[in-house]
This record gives sequence, C-alpha cells and structure tokens, in this order.
Amino acid sequence: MREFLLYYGIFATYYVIVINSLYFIIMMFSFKSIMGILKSSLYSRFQALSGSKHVPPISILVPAYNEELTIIENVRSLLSLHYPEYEVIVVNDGSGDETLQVLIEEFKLQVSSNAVLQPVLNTGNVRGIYHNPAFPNLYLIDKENGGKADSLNAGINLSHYPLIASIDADSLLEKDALIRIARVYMENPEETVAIGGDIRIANGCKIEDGIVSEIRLPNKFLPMMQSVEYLKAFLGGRIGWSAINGLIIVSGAFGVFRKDYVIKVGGYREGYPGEDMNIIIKLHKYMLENNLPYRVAFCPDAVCWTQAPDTWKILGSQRRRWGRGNLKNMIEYGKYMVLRPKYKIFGLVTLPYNILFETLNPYFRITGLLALIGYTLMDMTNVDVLLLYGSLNIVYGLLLGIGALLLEEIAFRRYPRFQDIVKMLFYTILMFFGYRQIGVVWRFLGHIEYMRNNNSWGTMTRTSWKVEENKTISSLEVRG
Amino acid sequence: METPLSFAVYFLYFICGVTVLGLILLLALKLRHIAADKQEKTCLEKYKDYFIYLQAYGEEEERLKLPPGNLTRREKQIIQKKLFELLERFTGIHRQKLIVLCVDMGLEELDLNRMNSWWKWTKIDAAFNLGMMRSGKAVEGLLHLLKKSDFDSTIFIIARAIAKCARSEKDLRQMVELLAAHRKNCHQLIVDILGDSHLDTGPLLVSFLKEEDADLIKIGLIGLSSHAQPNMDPILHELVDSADKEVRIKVVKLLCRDVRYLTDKNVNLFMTHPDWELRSIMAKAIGALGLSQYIPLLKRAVKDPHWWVAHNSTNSLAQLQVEGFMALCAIMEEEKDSRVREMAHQVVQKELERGKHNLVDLDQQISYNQKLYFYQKWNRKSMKTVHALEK
Repeated sequence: MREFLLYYGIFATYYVIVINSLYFIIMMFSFKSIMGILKSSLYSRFQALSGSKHVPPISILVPAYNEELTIIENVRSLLSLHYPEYEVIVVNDGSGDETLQVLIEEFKLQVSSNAVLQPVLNTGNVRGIYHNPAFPNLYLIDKENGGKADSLNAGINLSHYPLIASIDADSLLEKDALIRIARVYMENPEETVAIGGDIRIANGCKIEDGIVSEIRLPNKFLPMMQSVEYLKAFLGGRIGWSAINGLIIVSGAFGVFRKDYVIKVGGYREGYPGEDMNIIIKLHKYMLENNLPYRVAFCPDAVCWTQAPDTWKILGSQRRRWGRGNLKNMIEYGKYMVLRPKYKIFGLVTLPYNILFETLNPYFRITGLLALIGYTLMDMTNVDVLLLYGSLNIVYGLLLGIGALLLEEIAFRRYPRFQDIVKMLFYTILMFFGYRQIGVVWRFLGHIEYMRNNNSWGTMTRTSWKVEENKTISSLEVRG
Repeated sequence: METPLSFAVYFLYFICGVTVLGLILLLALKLRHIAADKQEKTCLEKYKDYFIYLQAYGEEEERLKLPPGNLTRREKQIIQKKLFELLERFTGIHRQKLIVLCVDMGLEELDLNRMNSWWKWTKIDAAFNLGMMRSGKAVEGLLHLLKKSDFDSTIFIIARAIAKCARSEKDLRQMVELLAAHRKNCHQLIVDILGDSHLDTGPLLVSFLKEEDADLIKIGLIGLSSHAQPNMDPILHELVDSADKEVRIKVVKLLCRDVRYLTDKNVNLFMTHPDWELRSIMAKAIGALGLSQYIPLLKRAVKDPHWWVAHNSTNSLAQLQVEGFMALCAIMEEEKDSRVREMAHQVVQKELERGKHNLVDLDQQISYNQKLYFYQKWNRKSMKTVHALEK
C-alpha cells in the first residue's frame, strides 16, 4: 500500500511538472507576441479609426436574465461606445424580475411591429420586439426563458450586421474596446472567425455612468483571487494559445464573431452551460473540416470589466457550472477530434491539453495530494516527498503568476501603483493555500452534477454598479 | 530521497532560480516605469510654458523656436510625444511648422538613424515617429522595411507611416502592392490607411481598376466608393462581368450610387442577375434613388426566393412615394404567398407609423394622407372579403 501511494504521488508530482511546463511554453508564446500587441495598441490611431467608414458594423448582443440592477448602466455604457456603426440588441430571456420594465421605462421603448426577425436560427418564442426611434441603434427582444445560448440565437435573428459581439449584461466595455477588436478583424477579415476580448474584474474599481473611471484592485478576498486568476488565464494563456491558433474559448463576457460562420455551425448550443467554449470548438471543427484558412484571435487590449462573485456560494456555483460545461464539451467533441491530424493544432494540442490538464485536473491533483498525505502519515520521516509536491505546485504557480504580471507590466500597466504588484504577488502565493484546492473540488463536483444530469444554472447574484456595497441581492436562478 | 524524484528536486531548484529572476525583473520594470512616469510629469511641467508658446504661435510666419536649454535624450523623447499630440490636433500651416520644429530639434535625423537598428521594435518605433513627422526622406527606408516584414499587426504601422510620408502616387502604389501581396483581404484597412496621405488618391484608385490583380481592383472599388471620379463607367461596366463575385458586388454597389450609370438595360440586368447580392443591391438602390419607373420590377422582386432581395424590394417600394405605397397595398391584396403579404404588410405599417411622426411640411402631410387613404381602402376591402367568407 505504501509503495502504491508513493508511486502514485510521484506520478502526480510529474503531472504537476508537465502541466505547468506546458502552460509555461504557452506563456512563452504570449511573450513572443506581446511586443507586437504593445506596438499595435500604442500606434494604431483608434480615435481616427472610430470615425472611419471602413470599419465593419457590429451587432452587440446582450442576453439578460434578471439583470434589473445592472442593465440600465450597461446599456447606457454600450450606447456610448466609440464606434462608427453598431446596434445594441438586449435579449430579455423571460426574466422573473423587472428587467423588461426598467428597460422600457428608461429608454421609452415601444413594441415595434415592423422590426424584422430573420429566422435563421431556432429559438424560444419571441413575445415582442421593442424599439424607440430616439435610440435608433437600440433594440429589445422579449422572449420566453430559454437560456443564454437561446437568447444569443434570438439576437442573431434580429441583427442587421455581419459581425456580432456577445456581451454579458453584468459587464462594462471600455469605450474603445470594440474599435480595438475591429482593428484586429480588419487586419485579416477573411480568416478571422472570432476574436476574444480581455476580461478584467471590476470589483473595487470606481464606476461612473457605466464607465470604469478609476482602476483599483478589489478589496475583498474572493474578487482579488479571481483578479489574479483572470490575469494569468487571459494574458498568460490566451495570448499564447491564439498565437498558435489553438484558442479553445472566447469568453462569453465579451467576444466578436463572424455572423455567417456562427450561423453555418448552427448558432449557439442551447440547454447547457459552456456555450462560449462550444461555439469556438464548433468553429474550429467547421473550418478545419472544410479546409478553410481561419484564425480565432485574442485582443488583450480590448477590455471588458465584469463583476466577480464575492461569496463562496456563488463562486462555487459558477465554477461547478464551468466544470459541467467543460466536461460536456470534451465528451461531445473530444471523441471525434482528439489526436486526429485533420484537426491540426486544435486536435493534436489544444484538446488533449484541455482534457488531460483541465478536465481531468481535479482527479490527478486531489488524488495525488491525498496519496502523498497518506504516504506521509504512514511514515512521517518521508514528509519531504509531500513538501516537494507542495513546493513544486506553489513555486511553479508563482512563476506563472509572475509571468502574467510581467506581461501586464510590459504591455498594459492598468494597475499603476507599486503596491498593486505586491498585492497581486501576495495573492498569487496565497492562492495555493486553500483557494486552488477548493477550486479543484468544485470542478469535481461539477462533473458529478453532469453525471447526475443536473442542468441548473445555480445561484447567481447581481450588484448594482451604483451602490455596490449596499444593494446586493441574491436570487436562485434555474435556467434552461 | 528516492531516485524517481531526483529530477523533480533539481527541477524545483531550477524553477526557484527562474522565479527569483522573474521577480527581480518584474519589480525592476515596475520601478523603472514609475520613475519614467515621474520624469515625464516633471519634464512636462518644466516645459509647460514652451508648449503654450507652440500652440499660440503656430500661425505666425517665423519659425518656431527650439525648447530652451540643453535637452537630455529622455527629455527629447517626452517633448516628441507631446509634439505628436499637437500634430494630431492641428492642420495646415500650424502642423507644417511643428514638423519643421521636429526637424530643427534633430528628431527626424534621430529616427532616420534608428531605422537602421538591429532591433525590430526600435525600427517600428522609428517608423511611427517618421510617419508622424511626414518625413519624405524616410519613404525608401519604410518601403524597404515593409518589404522585409512578415505579415503581422506591425506592417500596418509601417504602411500608415508610408502613407503619411509619401511624396508621390508611386510611393503609395508600392505600399498598397506590398500589403496586397499578403493576400489577407484587408482592403478596407488599406483604403483607410491611404486616407492618411496628403496626396490625392483618386487617380491611384482609378488606376487600380485597370489591374489584373483582383485585390488591387477591390481596393480601388472600395476607395472610390468615397472618392467619386469622373468617367469611370466604361471601366466599371467591364468589371461587372468579372469572375470574382466580390468584385461584381462592389462594382454594382458603385454603379448604383449614381443614377447616370443606371440605364434601363443595367437595371434590368442587375435585377435579374444570378447573384442574389446584385439583385439585392439594385433593389435597394431603386428606392434610395427614387426611380419610380421600376416599380413593376420591384413588385416582381418582392417574390424573390432570397430573403434580402425581397426585403430590400418591399422597403424600396415604401420609399417610392404614393405610387410605391399603392404597389405595396396591391401586393397585400393580390399576392397569394403569405410570406410576401406579411412582409409588405410590415413595411406598410412601418411607413404609416413613420409618416405619422413626420408631418413637417404640406407635401409630407398630403403624401401621408394619400397613403392612409389607400391603406384604409385596402383594409375595408379586405374586411369585406373576410365578412363575406364568414357568411
């Protein structure tokens, strides 16, 4: 038994080395790309470009479910973007609260009998389309509850432009986020099928009129942890993955897509979380199967600020949902695409990496840790094996965290104060003392929920941007 | 320690070393940035009066004076950044004088030298700066850099710099050809970049239409959509039969902007073209240009199997005053296909709704009343039919 535990522990130790080394390699691709990103961001004349008639028009789709507290601020923020031609389509997905009413009242919307829905994708029943000529680029679709994917599909049916942007109703776009993404698209419009934006945590920032006016790190523990996590995932990971055209996800919070290809792959998948990963997998699959040149790009200087969950309950619910979505996608597409040369980098690198090191991560990490604890408890003189496992996890994690912070410091410098860097470093280390382990357990629980066919959305919360401290309400949302 | 873990131990030592190095680098970079920000603030404060002088005396005849005192390299960079801000803000003689000031300060020379650097990023910085200073001397070097560069975002920085510095149409042509050679279909961006040039790009765009390269033709067509040139119709008509569908679409879009190009033959040709895109563009243009003589064509096109053609045709009918509106009422009355009837009905409703809020002059009031009359007449007739069927 002791030997088994030891050898399993050794396996887990090398697993940690391999997973982190692969991540490190991906991060090196991020470093390779970062100077180009920095120079393009610095020297592209976004102000002039945002007035150019050569910029492609975009339909912004905003699925909203029980978003009465944040929706007005968000729509106002979207209506004032620096972009030449765009429309905002809010899709009320059968909200149980006052989302529909607050929108109608605020923007004096009226039922529009002449707004044309082109039924290219199947969706739940649309109860009405609202519009006000005073806000010519704002539309509101009111439909029966069908989930986020269904709402996006309904938005696509109404959209008038060749590009669509999906944006979460609890997120705020920076004024020039859309034009920055459009610049990336314009550089290679034929091959670009999707572009992801950078998601950052808004908790702690000062927000005025739907705009992040002062950037600050979150004061609370959980949002701060997520801030560090997001920075590592987006800057360290996604820049690198996009450099090798292996990006598996464009965050549902902010991404731009070619509408024609989204329609060709059948739109967003309904009835299950993880629709943001699902649409990207389908796009990769379609393009590769049809031998079409393509890229899924990432634009780290196009920033979208989002509210991070600030309680364990809500965070756990979100992470379990992610776990379910990830497992569903891997089972659904993994069996057809993994290690098939036809699917190039995506089939040979991205999917195997994702399955081995994201989907199966909870199993190896938890069992590895338990094996080594068991082994050490049997003979305390062998505690060094457990310490080695722990040290590798922490030091390698810290190294990757430092890498992400370096990328941030080289190219973006959103957090100007010295103490911000120190705080983020501190939380990068702190993450390994409980937070990461709980995250692994949540993923594992998400898998159990998947096996038990639990498809609920879980507990969600929305906090008004105006009164973040006082006006928090929680509601139990069961979607789809 | 067991042998299988020896490698892991050495590896741990290794990543500890890399982590410490990364940490030092991160903190050093942060401190450097903070120091640079502080330095910039101090420098801008020091030369505050000088910048006010630059803004106030930009229109005077005499040359702008150099900043007082001996400038350090860093100060030069900070002042250059500020000068570029002003260059973006001002035009005409003021901008010209600021460019001369850049030359007098030796900034142009400095960046021309930096173009010879081994470092790609130094060259890119220099290219941008030279573009901002509209340096004619830099064109050769910039074109060479563009030619040597692989396809990535930075080639557009170089291209924009060339557009700003270009001395002649030839420079711009070379730049466009180099960009088009990557075959990435970034035509819109190329046209946008051409817009940064102080030269008249109209003749260059027309010359692209005579090329065999479809990319150059598309760039020409996109550029000409906002750059009308005389006597283009013979070239455009030749391109209508292009093998490239995108070229055909762009040509028809261009032709449909001007009523002079739209002969009966052309309108009939485009409305019956096998490409639905062409039919759709033509249908839209008939309404936009107010060509009510083609109402019968639109009435037929409302039944087009392609949604966009049908949609544009119904909307165009609504734009063609009372006659077009009557045609829509006739469609609602006569058409057997419920999809077509529904589409016409939606447009009629929209037109009446719009007309209700748009009664600023007598003509509009008369037009609205006539439309309302026809609608009510149609409505009464259809109600009678319904009642008759009910009986």
